[in-house]
Amino acid sequence: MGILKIPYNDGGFLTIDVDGVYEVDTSSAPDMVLKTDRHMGSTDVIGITLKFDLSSFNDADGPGMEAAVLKASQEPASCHVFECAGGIGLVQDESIDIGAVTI
Amino acid sequence: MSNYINVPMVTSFGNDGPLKVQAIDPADPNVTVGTGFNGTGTSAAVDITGGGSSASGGKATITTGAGPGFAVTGINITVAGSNYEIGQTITITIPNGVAINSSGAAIDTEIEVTAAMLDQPTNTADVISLPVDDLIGISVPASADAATTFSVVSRKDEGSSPTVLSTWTFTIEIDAPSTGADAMVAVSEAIRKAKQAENSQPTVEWPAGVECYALTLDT
Repeated sequence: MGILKIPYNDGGFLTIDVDGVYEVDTSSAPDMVLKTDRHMGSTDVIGITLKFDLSSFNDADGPGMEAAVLKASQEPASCHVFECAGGIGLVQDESIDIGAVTI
Repeated sequence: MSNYINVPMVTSFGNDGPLKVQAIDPADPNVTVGTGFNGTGTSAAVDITGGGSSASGGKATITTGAGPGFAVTGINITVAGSNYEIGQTITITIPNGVAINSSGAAIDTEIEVTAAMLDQPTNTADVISLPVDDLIGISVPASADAATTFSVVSRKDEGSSPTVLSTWTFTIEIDAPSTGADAMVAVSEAIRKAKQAENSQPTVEWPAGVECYALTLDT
């Protein structure tokens, strides 16, 4: 079991469970899509879509999230904080969406 | 291993809450019906004003009977709104220039809010324990600060429809100084604590002014 805390613009942190995340898709900034290995139908999987308070990702943000996911999975009782470069966190509204995303 | 969070619940609103969508008897002693209507029928739903410093969102209609007199025969709360305070007065204003009112002036109907006029919770539990092992996180809605419902999503599917994830929906009543976003952070924090400590049962520490009155597994 791996969990991460991400700063929330409204104050505090929001926690997500990153079990089974196999890919971090940063192609649709400011959305970062964490794809898990849980199928939802034949072409979709459960995805965690995070919306950060920035317009584009730093080159290190995607690899940074991947590293954070792996670290969280290796340290079951941990809860590391992930933030984008410059300490950027999640926007206030619709900052996390959990549902079907294309594989 | 199975971890839970304990969610403190309320079984009644002690101070304020959403109005109950219902008909209110114009003869109720807490009602002062407006007079001067000159048409028969039911108005469009109008915004309810008053009801306390944070009250908002409620709507109601007024129905008048046949003339002469065109007395008010029906008052219907059509939209619940939120934060209507017991003991405060709400006003339903029918503007001039509509079918039931061409008197030249707006007509007010005033109601003193009673506990029976609030949409009291059907919940009877003081605490609900929620399993967190399969929870992924909170889906943050639009207008998070004002949100009175939000969902925690599980990686379990609903069974009957494999493409729909199970979700737990929290319904809350919010008073200043807290917001819906504060409530989500509180739930998220309790989930974090539970996931970090095996067999723990942390309690959601609702911020001041937040009351949770429904927690349901979506069907």
